[in-house]
Amino acid sequence: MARFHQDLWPIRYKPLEDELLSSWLVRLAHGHGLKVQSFCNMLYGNKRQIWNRDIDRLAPQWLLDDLKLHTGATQMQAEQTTLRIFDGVLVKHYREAGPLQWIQLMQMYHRKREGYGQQFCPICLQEDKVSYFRKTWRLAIKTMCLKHNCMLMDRCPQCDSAVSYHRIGMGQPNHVEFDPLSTCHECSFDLRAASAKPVKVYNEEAFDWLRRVVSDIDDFSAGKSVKIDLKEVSLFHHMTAMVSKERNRYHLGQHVADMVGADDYVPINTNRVALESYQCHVRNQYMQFAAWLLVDPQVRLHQACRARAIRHNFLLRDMKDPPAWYEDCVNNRIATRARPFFERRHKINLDSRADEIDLTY
Amino acid sequence: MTNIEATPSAKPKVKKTQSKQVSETKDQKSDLAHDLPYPHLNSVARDLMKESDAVRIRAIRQGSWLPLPHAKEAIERMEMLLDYPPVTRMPSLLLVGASFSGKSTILERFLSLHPPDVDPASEIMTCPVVMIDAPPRPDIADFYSRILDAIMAKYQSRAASYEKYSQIKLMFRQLGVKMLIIDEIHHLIAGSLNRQREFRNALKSLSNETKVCLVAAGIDEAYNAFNADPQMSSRFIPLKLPSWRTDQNTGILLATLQKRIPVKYPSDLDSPESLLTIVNRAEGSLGDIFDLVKEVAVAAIQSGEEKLSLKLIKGIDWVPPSRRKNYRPPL
Repeated sequence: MARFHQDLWPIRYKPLEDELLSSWLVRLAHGHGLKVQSFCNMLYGNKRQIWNRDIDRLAPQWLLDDLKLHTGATQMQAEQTTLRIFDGVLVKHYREAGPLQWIQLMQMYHRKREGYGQQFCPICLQEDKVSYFRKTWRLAIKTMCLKHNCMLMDRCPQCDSAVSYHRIGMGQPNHVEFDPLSTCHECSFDLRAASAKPVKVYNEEAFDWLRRVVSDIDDFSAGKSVKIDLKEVSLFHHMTAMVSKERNRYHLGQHVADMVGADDYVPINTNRVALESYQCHVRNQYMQFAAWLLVDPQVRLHQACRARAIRHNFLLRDMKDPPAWYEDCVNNRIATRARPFFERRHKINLDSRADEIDLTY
Repeated sequence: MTNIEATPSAKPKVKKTQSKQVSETKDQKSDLAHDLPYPHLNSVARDLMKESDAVRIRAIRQGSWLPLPHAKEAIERMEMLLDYPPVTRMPSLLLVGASFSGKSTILERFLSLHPPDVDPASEIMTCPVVMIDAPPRPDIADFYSRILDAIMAKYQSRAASYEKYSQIKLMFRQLGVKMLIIDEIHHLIAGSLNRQREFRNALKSLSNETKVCLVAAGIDEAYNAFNADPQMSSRFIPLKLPSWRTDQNTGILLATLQKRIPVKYPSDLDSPESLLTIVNRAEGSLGDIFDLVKEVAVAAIQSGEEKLSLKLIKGIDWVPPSRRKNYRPPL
């Protein structure tokens, strides 16, 4: 049998559209009738561990090279499976450790995932010939499936476990034929049977804006050439984070909730929780609120400042490289219009500065 | 009636015309061959005559596939098995022949006719035929490991045999394996009767559960080993490979070989004296006949004689197979 191409595996699945590296690797292992841990130990030994780290994010080159060699996948196909493709698109400085903007946190504990970082659309899983997990399902910005107009889910509806498809078959010795990746590793519930919830729309205009952003990211992740401005998505992240938290007596989120008529707004009362570990529906609400503000920032941010829902200096705080239009808007429009109130409060004569105030709004 | 009568009278006419045409084309071909240099050789050997001695010797030693009648029959039987639909009791074949009678060559030839698909673009390798050597003793885990190695599957070498068996079933289904060839099946007897029985049962289960046809090959002892189990002996239809004597078949074989050996002058291989000498010296073993002729051909090139003469066949240093175990070369 030396005639076989020595490097190619008999099962050499290629990555499916927008598939995650971990999903691809698990499919390959199960295709060989092996648990993914046994498969990887056999290939890479104990020194090169894979499953006790966020492999989609880490995506070491040696792993990609090896998979390319054994599956016949192209360089492009292999690289497209990693979250590294969002470097410079959603993330400014891609790091291997620590939180990353818009990349969901997995909260690794050895080989377990304690965070709900892996989301899924049950209807997409149903429609798949072979169930697999998409890259965009690891992004905090993606909370809904545009194809099926439903919310993504981030846990098993039956046992509330985080999705850990790499643990399918654990505790089941002598298993060779594995359940599909859509099976909950903890209770064997088929995630395809989960009932997808519709997206709650707070404001049509804001929702359309958010849909456009998510659609662009979906297209980019699928390998299409789409221009995504890092500064804009960073601003959106900043705004979502501001909406989600109450800072002292400033409550921007509640202000937007009042404006859009949302009665289910609950702020996050701690600064320690990152946006990337919020529950999916909560994140969706905050993002819709942030989108509502960004649809018409000059007016709506100004209104928020006037309503004392936010201080104007918070709008640029912690933003290292904001978009020029936003910086201009905050410095030359919102700040100068907020100043009279500030100055009035401190009994400063406004007459000399009257010309600077834009009374358009 | 007229039609019926007319048909037999018409048939011979057609046959005659066909045979005329065939003989004409044959004559034309032979005329053409006579026009070319080295008319005693076929086209491949004639092309090799342009090469250096070293290349010719290498080509001779490498040999080539010779579609002998028994080999053709074996391959046809295997083709039939390969195309067999999945049934409850899959038929199997036992190729029995003396040592060096061409069993492995037939199996390898069949394997080369049905190679696995190694296209990197495909997602799953298609592998209709898998060939392994039986393990040196009837060890089931070793047998399963050899199968997994043959299909280049990743597996845990220390896994229990039932795990390997499950993995084989999965892989066979995915790769579309239809036939498992086990060469040297007589290794089966190198174990206790219980072990032999276990091994035979493993073969039976594998065939039953995966719906794969088994083709086993071995010496006469393999036949005895299979006969010990009536279920196995009824399942494995034996096919005995012939031994070679001084008869017409051997004459045809040597005449064919003569055309394929790239030497400058026509040889005496097909003469009765050469035939008798070769068969006697090779003791009727097909592999030894080939090896002897190859060595004579190499000696013919090296000596510059460029002809497989009777003198060379008689004079070449050759130890008959039966004397090899006691043979001590002269100092």
